[in-house]
Amino acid sequence: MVKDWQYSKRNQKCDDCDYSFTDGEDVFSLLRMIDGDLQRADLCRACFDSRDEAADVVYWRTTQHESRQSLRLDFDMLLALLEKLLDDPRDDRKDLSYLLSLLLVRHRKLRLERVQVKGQQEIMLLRKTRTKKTFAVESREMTDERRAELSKQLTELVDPTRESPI
Amino acid sequence: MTGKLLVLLMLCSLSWSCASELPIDDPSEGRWKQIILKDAPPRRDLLLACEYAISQAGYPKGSTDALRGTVFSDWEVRLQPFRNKGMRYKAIFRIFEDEGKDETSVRSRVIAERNIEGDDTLDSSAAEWEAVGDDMGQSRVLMQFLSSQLFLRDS
Repeated sequence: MVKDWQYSKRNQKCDDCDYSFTDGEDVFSLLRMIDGDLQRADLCRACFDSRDEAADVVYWRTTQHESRQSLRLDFDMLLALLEKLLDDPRDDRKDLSYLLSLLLVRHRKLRLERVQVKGQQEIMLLRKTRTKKTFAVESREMTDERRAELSKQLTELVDPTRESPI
Repeated sequence: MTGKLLVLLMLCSLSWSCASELPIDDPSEGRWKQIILKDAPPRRDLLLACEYAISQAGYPKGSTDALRGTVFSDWEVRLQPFRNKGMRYKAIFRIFEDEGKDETSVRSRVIAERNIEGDDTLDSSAAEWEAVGDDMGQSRVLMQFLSSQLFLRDS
């Protein structure tokens, strides 16, 4: 199910209870990690309030508009997501923040300044392009399968071709 | 006689060109950083990714040898007014395919040299370069740039 998810598209129904959103209603969109998989979910207020907060990566509140296109996860949002992930010590968050930072380097939103070595760990020191804001991201060793899966999920997250009107 | 001389000259020039080449054949030589890929893209794509990583890391475009699986940058020269402070760097990628294990390894290194010319320290044509070993820090950076190309395909 996760593999078929289109992250940048917002559903018209709550992902947890199938409640249909009405025009102008508050919708809670979130990215969460469940069993190592990154998922996007759009929830009604009741499901949002009763969710397992430990699975949250980031969430935001938006409004259902039938005529408006879905919210796209742009690079500013991905930078905010990275910032949030870096505060989380869990291994799956660290894996995701490593790949996310590589994605942002690839798209020249972050500049890789240098790599520090601390014991066995490599830490990438990155700077947001045209600013002085810096990020320290741990370089992670992952299995090819794990890397491919997370990479696929990230790709879907930012792929504008997967975005479609609600 | 002339023919023998020509052959001798050719052999001399060949041995000189081999000697002046950077020591990339022996992976134990120099300080290589390595990643191993089990599901590597085709060699041509891998070479292109290496070229792009070199460019993203800020090195001038150099040369690619598809047969040997090597990608070199040109020298990145950073002259300084003081003797022994000017430096130049060359980035290298080397691809090794292990068909038995069905995996590919990519190694990177960055060679560093120091300008020992005492007078014209800011003139690159007057510079005299002396090898100072590899720059492992830059080699790690280079490998992360390559990872950003390889670990996130199609994004």
